[in-house]
Amino acid sequence: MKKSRRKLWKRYLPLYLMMVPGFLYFIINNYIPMAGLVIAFKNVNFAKGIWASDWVGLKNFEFLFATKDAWVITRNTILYNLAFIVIGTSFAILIAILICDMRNKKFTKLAQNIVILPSLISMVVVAVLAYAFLSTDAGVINKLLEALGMEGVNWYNTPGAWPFILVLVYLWKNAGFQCVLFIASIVGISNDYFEAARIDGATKWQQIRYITLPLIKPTIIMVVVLALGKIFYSDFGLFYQVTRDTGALYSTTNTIDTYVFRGLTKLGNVGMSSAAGFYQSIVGFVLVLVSNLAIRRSNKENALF
Amino acid sequence: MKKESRGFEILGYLVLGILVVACIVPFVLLISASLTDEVSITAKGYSMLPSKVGLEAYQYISSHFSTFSRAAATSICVTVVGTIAHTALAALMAYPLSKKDLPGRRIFSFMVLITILLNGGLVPTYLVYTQILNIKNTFWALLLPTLLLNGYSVIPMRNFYSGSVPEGMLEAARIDGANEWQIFVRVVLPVSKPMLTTVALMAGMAYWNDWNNGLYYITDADKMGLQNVLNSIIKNAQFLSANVGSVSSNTVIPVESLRMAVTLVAVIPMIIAYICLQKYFIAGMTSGAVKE
Repeated sequence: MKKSRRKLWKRYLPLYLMMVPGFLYFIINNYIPMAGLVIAFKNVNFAKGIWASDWVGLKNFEFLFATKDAWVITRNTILYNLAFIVIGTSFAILIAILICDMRNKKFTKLAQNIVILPSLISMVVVAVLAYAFLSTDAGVINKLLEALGMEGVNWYNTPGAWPFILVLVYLWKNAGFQCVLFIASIVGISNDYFEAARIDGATKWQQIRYITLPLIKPTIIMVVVLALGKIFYSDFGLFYQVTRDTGALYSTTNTIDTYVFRGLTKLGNVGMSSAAGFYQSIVGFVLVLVSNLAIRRSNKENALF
Repeated sequence: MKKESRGFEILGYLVLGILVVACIVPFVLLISASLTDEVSITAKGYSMLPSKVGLEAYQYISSHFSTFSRAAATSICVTVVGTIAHTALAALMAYPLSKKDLPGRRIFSFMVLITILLNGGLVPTYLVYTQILNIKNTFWALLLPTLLLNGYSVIPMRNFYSGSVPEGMLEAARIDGANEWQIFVRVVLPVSKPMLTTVALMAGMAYWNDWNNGLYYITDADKMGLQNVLNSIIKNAQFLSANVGSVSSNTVIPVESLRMAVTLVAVIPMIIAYICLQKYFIAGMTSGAVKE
């Protein structure tokens, strides 16, 4: 017995050792910051040190929710994400169906390879490209407007236009990447269904409506529910870089993530930033749990846990 | 061809055609603007073909070569080291977690999962790296935060090891007297090459494209990678137009074309990587989409 235990130990020891570096990293990068969420209840004083700083109870949250900002950043974060989920997912499904079902395979292959280009680049690059179109003096769009005899628009000073601009930029950046999953799911549908439908005289539209869409429904549900679970998180780069961090646009482009960043680095307001961060982490955590539960209900295999 | 089917094809050419053009045009604009005479850009705007060819941007890069080459070297270094470290850490963690008989496996797996579900967020993370580890303005600041390892790499890899590595192969090696470490290096790693390539590619893309770490933790321009240098050039242009008024023709820095040229340098490696390693990109995007 003793001998076999030693033997087992000898076998498992290398396995445990292999996991040490990774978990060490998780402790530094993930677990300590998680514990650090409590600073939302502190008045951080660097002279005293973070852990020794005074507890202030809910003061930081009172300040945060007393401002109009709390409402604006929550509204912006959720509304943008809803728009991305509804429009982005529909668009990705449309692209996937077209790529899978069009007859000209050379064209669809080329199209798939090109629409994926934007997902390979960083948001800094996206911001540069967007600026080439939106710049007031030299931008492509204003030059076109001028050519048509219209007045150019100072886009970086027109908050009302940005919900549309950001949705377009989001679609441009993500469509090619998002449709990959739907393509995989459509390719998995047995050809027999389509064959039988064609013999019965079903039109292309009927095939899409009654075969393709119902059969990829589990994938659609999974994608949407996962995205709903992350509705409290925004793509920091999209809202920070593409808007060029322009103050005039904050009313329609400030989200929880940009608010936390600006509070921390520009205003030096650690208290309010950490309160907003805490609010995001906890609500986000609950939403992820709920969305996972929903996925488990519909298809256990796709659940994260 | 049936009528409705023709309608579908037309819709396809229309939608995909517009999207393809929309995806290509900005990149053409980028190349063209980087080769355009600076004065001509400010006067006539960006265009698909240079209104007047000028190489000021590339001349500026070569006359300030040390700045740009240092930034490029930093980016390459971080990407290479980071990709290798990320992939190694992920594989080292995923293999033990795939052993169904390992005592404590469920707890360790759960600990990985927690890192995906709950997030400390920017403020505590920033404080850990700046107040405890003091990595501000060091190479570590580009390497360590957020990107070195995450559950999205570990979990698919663990599933791959428990599903796709034949138990017989491992048993045979064990009978030959190999310990778990030797089995991992000689048997498991070689059979998991496609998986390793996919994880490495996603990590490499994340490191190459990363600007967040530089934005949070680097203030010293000499320590920046390409993405952050690009970011500063954007800021600098804003600074110029805000402080000098209209950018006049005798501006020393060809801001507009320079920005485009640096952007091009930041984009090209990713496009080459995509062309060479396409199928791994697709695999990574599919698994990433499922678990993200």
